[in-house]
Parts: sequence; structure tokens; C-alpha cells
Amino acid sequence: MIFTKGKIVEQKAVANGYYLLSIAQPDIASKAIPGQFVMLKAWERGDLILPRPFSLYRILPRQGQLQILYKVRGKGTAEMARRVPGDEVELIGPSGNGVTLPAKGAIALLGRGIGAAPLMAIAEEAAAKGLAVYTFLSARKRELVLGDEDFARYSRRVIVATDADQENGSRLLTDLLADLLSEGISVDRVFTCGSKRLARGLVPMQSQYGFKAYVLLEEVMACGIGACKGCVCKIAAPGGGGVVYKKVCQDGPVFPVDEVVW
Amino acid sequence: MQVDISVELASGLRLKNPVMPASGTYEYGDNVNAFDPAELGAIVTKSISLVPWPGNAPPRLCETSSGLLNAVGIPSEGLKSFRENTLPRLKKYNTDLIVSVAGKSVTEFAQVIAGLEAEEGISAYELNFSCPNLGNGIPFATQPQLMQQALEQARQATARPLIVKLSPNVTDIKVMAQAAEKGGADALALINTVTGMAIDVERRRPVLGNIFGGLSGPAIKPIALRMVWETVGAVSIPVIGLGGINNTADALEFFLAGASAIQVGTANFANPLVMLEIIKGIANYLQENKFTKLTDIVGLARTAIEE
Repeated sequence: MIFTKGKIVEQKAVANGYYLLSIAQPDIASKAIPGQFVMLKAWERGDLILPRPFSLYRILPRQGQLQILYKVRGKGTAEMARRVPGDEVELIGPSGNGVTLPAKGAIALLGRGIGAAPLMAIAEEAAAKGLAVYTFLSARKRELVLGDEDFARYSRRVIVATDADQENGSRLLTDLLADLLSEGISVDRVFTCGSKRLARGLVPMQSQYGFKAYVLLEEVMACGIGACKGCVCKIAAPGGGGVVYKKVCQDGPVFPVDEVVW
Repeated sequence: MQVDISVELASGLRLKNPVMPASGTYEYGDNVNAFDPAELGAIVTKSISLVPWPGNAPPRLCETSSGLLNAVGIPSEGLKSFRENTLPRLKKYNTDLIVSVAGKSVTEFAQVIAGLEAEEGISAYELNFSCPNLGNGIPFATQPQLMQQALEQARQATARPLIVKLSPNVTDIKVMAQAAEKGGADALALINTVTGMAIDVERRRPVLGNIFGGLSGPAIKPIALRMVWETVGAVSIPVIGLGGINNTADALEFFLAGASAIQVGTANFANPLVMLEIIKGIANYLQENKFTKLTDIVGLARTAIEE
């Protein structure tokens, strides 16, 4: 775990209330793997005491930079959106367990809204390893489908569905994945983020289509390093019967979809 | 000139400096420390119960203005796992180790302590009386007689120093402090979190899974300081101050009110280096103001108003 500072290199509005932030922080950039996250703090406000967890959209070790795609949700992210290039941010990370990619074959990524953010780092790494990547993105409106051009660079196919614009008939990404798989394409692993409904929907598909699916969970955090025990999720107790609490920050944020109690 | 910032909390318990983490706010796993834990006056563990406790259902956290509400609910690995897995790792740090003990019955605190007595390297126990008593669901720390009973049993179980952690959720903190002193406490630590809640207006329901939580952070510092002041005036044992301490100046306020040592909780989440900064800040303050030792300033704000 690195406790450090970084400088904002770029802050770009990508949609109304959505930003792409680039931070120069070579130490974390050289250590982080897809699926991990950082705790960020970029304000001197007495009323806003805690850092906030942010997923990593792109990890750029050669440039010594991290890219973070985020949505303004509350006071912390609103403050973050006001920071400009040259401003300093405090970082803790890389936190959590990242994803484990298969050695070969194909993966699918299912992202809903801002949940697409951590999937980008996975797509990039998978493509670099020679894996076939199939990306499925959905959002309420077309302009909230984030990063589709970036995903296109690393994916065999990017399939988009929107609610309001009825692209792909507003269908669920799990149904669109099933369509792809019935074309005879097979995937080894599926990663999803941004929708509990999608993650739940993947559970029965695993045995049907022969893949293993993982969800990247989000939870309110105070420390991001396992100290506060505040960010727990419910996980089925091993051996069946009952529930255990696991820390999203330390035991996750990546969990097998069939272990999470939804 | 070197200043002496060591503190004696009980006979045989002298900490090299007065700064320690509040129980449950400091992660002592490998690879998660922003600085060497040996720099601390003492390490205070998460609360240990007799058997494992899962803690409360999520959501467990809600940040409020200048504060943090938590309903974590004292998850504990249990005595056996603590003894076998955690304690050996903690002993290797070259500083004092204070084990926080939790229980849900009058006898459980003493049982946990009895299970740790054969272990070397424990400097003291801190009794977390803020958990609800199984009998009536009311925390020990708000019932003087019940707390005193649990404390007396713990006292019989060990010769090691006992620190009693007090809750602010009482009408008169002096009553609780005196009950703890009478029950055999060597020192007191206060305050634990202040009971509160938050409601999500969009979902129109309580934010926390447990509905109620404990408020910590800068928002509660004035309450904590007032209660430390009152307690110092009501007992003759050392008082450890905590509650919203965020920097050196906050810590100094507690010493000037009469606290012998301090603990830092929520601020560790915001700034993992904060305890180290406070240790250095205290020494600098003493030097700049020509004091030779920390004990010279303990309670000075009290004498100031007597003059």
C-alpha cells in the first residue's frame, strides 16, 4: 500500500456530471492491476473528512499516470470535479484484489453506466495478453454510455444498449451476452460492474454457457485499507447456510457472482 | 533540548509517548501501515470477544458534516483466532500493546482476559463497555452497577492494568467514571462514539443497516473535551482523552484539560500519518514553549481558571 500524493494532469468533462481525471502518480501506476482502486482526497474542507474510493479506468505505468472516470454523486465527487490540472491530490493505493485473467481465450465485460469505469483497465490488459474481449455497455441515455470508443480499441465487439434511445431494444446486457454466446462464441470469464441486476443475472448463465463470472462491488468506505470494517458485503458462508461479511476494500472489490448474497 | 513525552498510565505502564490509535480504527495487517507501528505510544487492538462476532448488517457507514456515523457493531475474530493469528504478529512491534476486550455479559470480559493471561507481551487491557449487555440490551457503559460488576470480575482475572473506556451517552459522565474507579480501573479512556442516525431522503429510510450508529470525528470533539474535563475533576486515576482529535492542536486541548494521553480514531482514515504528525507536534509545542516534559502541561487550563 502506498500513501502518497499526485498531481492532476487533466480533468475532462465527458458527459454532464461525468469526468475523466488523469493523475500523475508513477508509484501507484507501476504497481496497480485492473480491478484495484485508490482512495482519493483533494480538498481542505473541515466538514468533508474522509477520502473517497475511485476505480481505475486506465493504468498507465509508462506515462506514470492513473485515469479515473467518475460521476458526481455527492460532496466529495463535486469537490473532485472542481480540481484543475496542477492541483495536488492525496492517494492511498493500490487497494483491493484486482482481477485474475485467464491465460488464453475470451472474456466478456458487462458495464452499466459509470460501472464501465473499472472494466476499461481490464479490457486493456486482456487485449495486451491476446485475449478476445467482448464489451457490453448500457446506460439510460446514449451520452451516458461511457468510454465506448476506448473500449472499441481493445474489444472484438462493443455492444451497446440504452433505455431511453431503445438501442438494442433496451435489452438487458445479460440477454445480449446470451445472443452472442448462441452464435457459437464462447467466453471463459465475465466481469461486471454497475448493476446488481446484471450480476445476479449472470449466476445461472455460468453453468449454461461454461464461464465464471465476477462482479466488482462498490461500497461506502472510510479507510479503504481494511481498518474500519465499514464496507462489508454479504457473502454466502462456505459450506452453505448463513452469511458472512467480507470487506469490499480488502477481500474484494472483485467477488464471484455466485458467492455474493444479493 | 530533548523533551520527555513519555506518560505513566498505571504502575508499571509507561508509554514512550502519549499517542495511540482508538480501538478499531487502526489496521495492523502487513503492508497497510503508513509508518512503523513501533513509533506509537501503544498499539490498541480491535475489541476481542470470547467467540467470533460478525458485526452489523451493512450499510455500516455514513459521513456527516465533520463526522462519521458508523454501525460496524464490533466484529471480532474471537479470542482463539486473536491469540493464534493476530497476537503473535502484534508482539513483534517494539511498543506497548493494549488489548481491547468486549463482552455481552458481566462474566465475558473476565473470560476473555483469563484466556490471554498466559500470553506475554500484553501491557494492559482496555475494556470496551459500549457493547449492549445481552440481558437488557443496554450498553454496560450506561449502567454503573452492571459495569462495576463486569469490571470487578475482570479485576480479579488479572494483575495487568485495566483501562475502562467510557461512553458519552449518559446523563452524568462523572457517575460512570467514579463507578469505574471504584471497580478497580487503573485508567479511563473517553469518549466512545455519540449515538446518532441519518436518513436517506431519496429512499426515505434510515441510511445505516442498524438504524442507529455512533458519531465520531471532529464534530464530537467539544463534547469529548468537556467530558474529559469533568472526568479529570471527578477521579484521581489517569484519563486518556479521545473523540474527534484531528491534529496536534486538538491533542493539546485534551492535555490542557487534564488528559494524560490521547487516542486518535477517525482521523486515521482521513490521514494515515496523523498519529505520527501529532507525536512530533506535541514535542515541538513543548520545546517552543519551554516545557521540558509533557506532564508539565497536563491540566494547565484547569489551573488557569483557578488563579
